[in-house]
Amino acid sequence: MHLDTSTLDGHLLVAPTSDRLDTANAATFLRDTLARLDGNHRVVIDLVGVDFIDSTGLGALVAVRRALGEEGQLRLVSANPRLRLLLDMTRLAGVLPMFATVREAVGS
Amino acid sequence: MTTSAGAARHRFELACDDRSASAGCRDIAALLRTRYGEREDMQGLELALSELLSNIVRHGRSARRLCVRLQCRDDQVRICLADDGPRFNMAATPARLPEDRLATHGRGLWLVHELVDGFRGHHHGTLNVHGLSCRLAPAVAAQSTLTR
Repeated sequence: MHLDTSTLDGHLLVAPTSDRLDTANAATFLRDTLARLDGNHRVVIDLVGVDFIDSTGLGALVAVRRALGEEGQLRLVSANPRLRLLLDMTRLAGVLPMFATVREAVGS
Repeated sequence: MTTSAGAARHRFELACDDRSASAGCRDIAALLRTRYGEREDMQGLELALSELLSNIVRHGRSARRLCVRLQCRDDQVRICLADDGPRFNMAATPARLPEDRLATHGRGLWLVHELVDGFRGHHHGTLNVHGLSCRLAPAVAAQSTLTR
């Protein structure tokens, strides 16, 4: 999976270019994201281009959160109401806070 | 694939790997959207199907065949998955959300139970057979199954 990465205000921004995060690419997404952390403990994952996430994709996001440790911070960016519902339903909204824009995620 | 008035049947043969599971799920969801249109409750059905397919390719690693049959009749959708992997009944497997919120696995089958009404499993000869069914609400009044 190709990832676009950049930094903004001390945050590592990661944006997968696939429109799905599921069993086909979740492991690659996790591996490639962890490889880009390079000591960053504040990460924003931009999911604006991702239309579909299943539990394998959710598991990869949680694994990134785990890798950041207790002092770390992982925030998601998406305006997709389905992802918000999925996070609420699986009780992950507190673990993976979601914001509508990158600016909001970085500035909060 | 066979089609009759008000009803349609489709059959998909998938390879037992992650990429095929993902692509098969996408194709079946696209077919359902062609028939029923874009609607919120389709999202839940697609997610449930994705969870079942990924469970089969992960837990049935020695499976060689994975067949998906789709039957649409009016607003009723039935999906049947058959695989020749190790004996396994996903519908009979206890499913609850992991207590550890940072668990990286263990949510998939719980989601299936939450998202569809009719989720059954049985064995037929050497095959594991799993079925799910759901009634798609009229498009105008569609409610997201994700909100249940």
